[in-house]
Amino acid sequence: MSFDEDELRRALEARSGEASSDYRARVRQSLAADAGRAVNWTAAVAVVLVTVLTATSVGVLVASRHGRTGPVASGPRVTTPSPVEGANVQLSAPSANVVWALVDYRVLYVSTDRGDHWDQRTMPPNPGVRPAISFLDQSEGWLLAPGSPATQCQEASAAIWHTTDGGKIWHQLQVSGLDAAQCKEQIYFADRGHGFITAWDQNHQPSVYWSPDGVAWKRFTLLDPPDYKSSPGGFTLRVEWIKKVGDTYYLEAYGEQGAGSPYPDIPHRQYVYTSTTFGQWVWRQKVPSRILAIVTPARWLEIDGPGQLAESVNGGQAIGPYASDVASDTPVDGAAMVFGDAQTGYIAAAGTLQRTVNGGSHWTRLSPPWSAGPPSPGPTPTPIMQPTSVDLSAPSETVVWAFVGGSELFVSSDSGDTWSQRTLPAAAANDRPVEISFLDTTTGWISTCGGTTTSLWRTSDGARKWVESGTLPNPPGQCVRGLSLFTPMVGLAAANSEDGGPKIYRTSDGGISWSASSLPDPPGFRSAPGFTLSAHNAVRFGGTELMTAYGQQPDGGHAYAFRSTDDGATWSYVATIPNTAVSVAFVTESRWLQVIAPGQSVETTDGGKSWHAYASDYSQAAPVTPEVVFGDASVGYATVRGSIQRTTDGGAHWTPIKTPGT
Amino acid sequence: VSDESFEDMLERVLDPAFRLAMTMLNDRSAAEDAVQEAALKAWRARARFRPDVEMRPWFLTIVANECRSARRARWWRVLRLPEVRAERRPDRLEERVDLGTALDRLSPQHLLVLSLYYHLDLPMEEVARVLGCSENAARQRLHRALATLRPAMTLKADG
Repeated sequence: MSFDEDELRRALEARSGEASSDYRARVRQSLAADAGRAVNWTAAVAVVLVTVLTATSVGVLVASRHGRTGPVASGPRVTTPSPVEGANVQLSAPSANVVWALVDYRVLYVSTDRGDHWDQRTMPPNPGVRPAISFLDQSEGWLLAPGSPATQCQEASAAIWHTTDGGKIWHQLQVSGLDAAQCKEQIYFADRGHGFITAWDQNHQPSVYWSPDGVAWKRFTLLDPPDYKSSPGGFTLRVEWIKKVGDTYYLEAYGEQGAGSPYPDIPHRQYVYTSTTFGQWVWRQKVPSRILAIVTPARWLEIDGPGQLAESVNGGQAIGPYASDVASDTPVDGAAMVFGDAQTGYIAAAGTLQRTVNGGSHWTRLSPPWSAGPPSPGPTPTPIMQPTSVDLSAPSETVVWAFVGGSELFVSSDSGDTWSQRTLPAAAANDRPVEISFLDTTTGWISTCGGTTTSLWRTSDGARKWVESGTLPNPPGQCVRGLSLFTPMVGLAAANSEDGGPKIYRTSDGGISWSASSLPDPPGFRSAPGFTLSAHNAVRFGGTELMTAYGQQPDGGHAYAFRSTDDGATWSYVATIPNTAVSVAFVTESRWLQVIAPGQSVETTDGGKSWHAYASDYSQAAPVTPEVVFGDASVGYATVRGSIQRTTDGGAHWTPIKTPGT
Repeated sequence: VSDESFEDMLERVLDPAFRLAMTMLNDRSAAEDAVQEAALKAWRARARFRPDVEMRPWFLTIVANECRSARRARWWRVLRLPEVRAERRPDRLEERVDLGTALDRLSPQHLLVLSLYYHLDLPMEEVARVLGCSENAARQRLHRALATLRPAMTLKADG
C-alpha cells in the first residue's frame, strides 16, 4: 500500500464515525413503528421519532397513529436564538476586580482592574462548538467545550478544560458521568468542589450535572415549574446561568410554551430555581425578565426593556422599576449582566460593555478590546490551531488580507512580512464567515453564511467596524461563494446550484441590491441536473472581469474561463482550463498560471488560447493544489494546508512566509 | 425472509451504512437522517428482498441514494465547527484537513466510489454492485475519482 493510499484512508476515516447504540435503537424503533408494532409506546417517544426522520417519513410515522396533536419539532439544528447586534460576550466575574470575557466563543480576555484594561489569554486547543467559561479568580477556571449537536440537541459530546494559570495552559479533564444525550451548554464552578454543567434538548426536561471535583458528574433533571409543561418540539427549558450567592445556589431557566399548552398567552417564560443541598434543585418563582442578576440574596436586578432596569429588595417577591443611568440603548436580547460583588457589575450587550461600581444605579461605558477595534493589534496575537485554511485577498503589491481558519482576520501592508489582526462582523450565532474580498487596507467585504441566506458585510475602516449591507439567498445546500469586490460599490458573488447552474450576482450599490446573470454552457458542456457549472471568484483588469467555473460531465470534470466587459451583466466563454483540479491565477488579463508543483505548472500568455509548461519552484507536500492570488503582475501568494508562500517575480520563485495567527 | 430476520440483517449492515453516510455527508445529523430514511425504505421494500441477495450492497445502494438526495437538498456545504473528538486525535492532521477539503469538493459519485473502496474496504465486485455497474466500469470510476482528487496522485487502485 502506498503512502498516498494511507493518506486517503485516513482522510476518509476522519470524516467518518460510528453509529451510537442509542441511534441503533432509534432506527430499530422506527422500523417497529412503521410495522405498527410498539403499541405501548408513549406519545412523547413517538414524537421524538417523528422529529428525527425526514419530511417524507413524517406522514408514515406514528404521530397520527398515537393521536398526538401537539407541535411537531422542526427548525434549525442548533436552536440558540441569538439575534445579537454586537459581539456575543460571556462574562465571568468571580470577584470585584476580576472579570473574564469570552467573545464570540473564540477570544478570551481577562481584566484584573474591573474592566479598565484587558489581557488576551489563549483558548484550549479544541474549544468545541460554543464554549462556556467559569472562573474562580484570575488564575483558575474551566471551559466547557461542547461537540457538534445531533438533530434537536438529542446528543452532543462535551469536553472540559481546566486552567490554573490564567489560561496560559489548559488541561483536558478526563470526566465521567456526562451522558451523550442533550447539548451541554453552561458551566459554573462556585469553588473547586462545587461545579455544575447544564444540558438541554428540544424534547425533554433539562439536566443539571453536578460534580465535587470537575471530573465525576451526576445528573439531576430539572422538573417543570407549576405553570410550565415540557413537551417535544422545542417547548422545553434551558438554563441561562447558575450562581452561588450567600449559601444558596441560584439557577435561571427559560423556555417557551406554544399553542395548545396550558398558558398560550405568555409564550416566553423564565424561572428561578434554588439549591441549598448540592445537586438538588427546587423551583422557586417566575421572573419577568431573562436578564437577571442575583446581586445579593435579597437584592435582584434585571433588565426589563431597552435601558430599563428593575429591582427587587426582598429576594424576588416584588420587583419594580429601578432608577439608573444605564445606556438607553442597552437591549434585552443578547445582553449579559453579572455582578462580581454587591457593588461591581457588568452588562455586555450589542458589542458594548458597561460597568457599575455602586450596585447598579450609575453605569460607565468601558472600551474593551472587542468593541474598540482590533484586539491587540500586532503580529500573531491569537494562536490558531494548525491545520487550518487561509483565504487571501491581495488588492495590491503590498496589501494582503488573510482570513485564517474561518475565524481570524489579518491584514498586512508589507506583502505579508508583518500582520495585524482585525475584527470580524458580529453575525448571528449560527452564521459563519466564509470569504473576504478587499480593495485596500480599509475597504472590503466579508460574507457570512446561514441556513438560507448569505449576508454581505462592508467595512470602510480596515475591519474595525462592519455594516451588514445585504443578503443573498443561498442555493440549495450551499452558501453564496465567489465574493469579489471591484470598487466600493461594484462587486460579484456566485450562487452555485447542482440542479440549476450558477447565478452570478452583481451589485453596483455596495451590496444593497443585486441582479443575477448566468454563465453560458461552454463548447462541449451540457448543463443538466447534477452536471452544472460552479463559478468561482472573479478578478478585474480595467474594464474586464475574468472568472473560472468548474463542472462535472458524465466523462469527468472540466474547467473553463469566462469574461465579462459589463460588470458581470453578461458572460462569454473564453477558454478551457487544462488542469481541472487546480485553480487558475489570473496574473494579468492575458497571463494566467496554474501553479502545481515543479515540472507540472502551466502558463498562458494569450488569455487561455494556448498553454505551455512553466518553470516554477513552488513545492507542496499535501495532495491538494494551492489557491493562488496575485496582488499585481509580480507579487502573488499561494495557500495550501494553512501555509502561505509568496512570489515576487510573477510565480517563478516562491518563499514560505509565516501564516498569521499560527 | 421474516420481519425479525430482516431486521437482524439490517442491523448488521447499519455500521458500514453509517460510515458511508458520514463520509458522504460529513455531518453526523445528516448521516443519521439519511441512514434512518434508507432503513425505512429498505424495510418497506422487504417483501421484494430475495434471500439470495446480499444485504450489504443492496442496502448501501439505498444509503448512497439517500446521501445524494441529502447533498442536493441540505445545507451541507456550510462551514461547520469541528466536532470534539478527543479520543480520535489524528496522527497527521495537516494532510487530513487538506485532503478533507479536497474530498469536500468531489462530486457525490466520486466520493461514493472512494468511500466504498478505500473506507469500507469493499472488494471491487461489491463496489460495482453498489454502483450498479460492471466491475470494469467501477474500476474506471475509481480511477477517475482519484484523478479528480489530485491529478498528480500516484495511487494504484488495482482493485
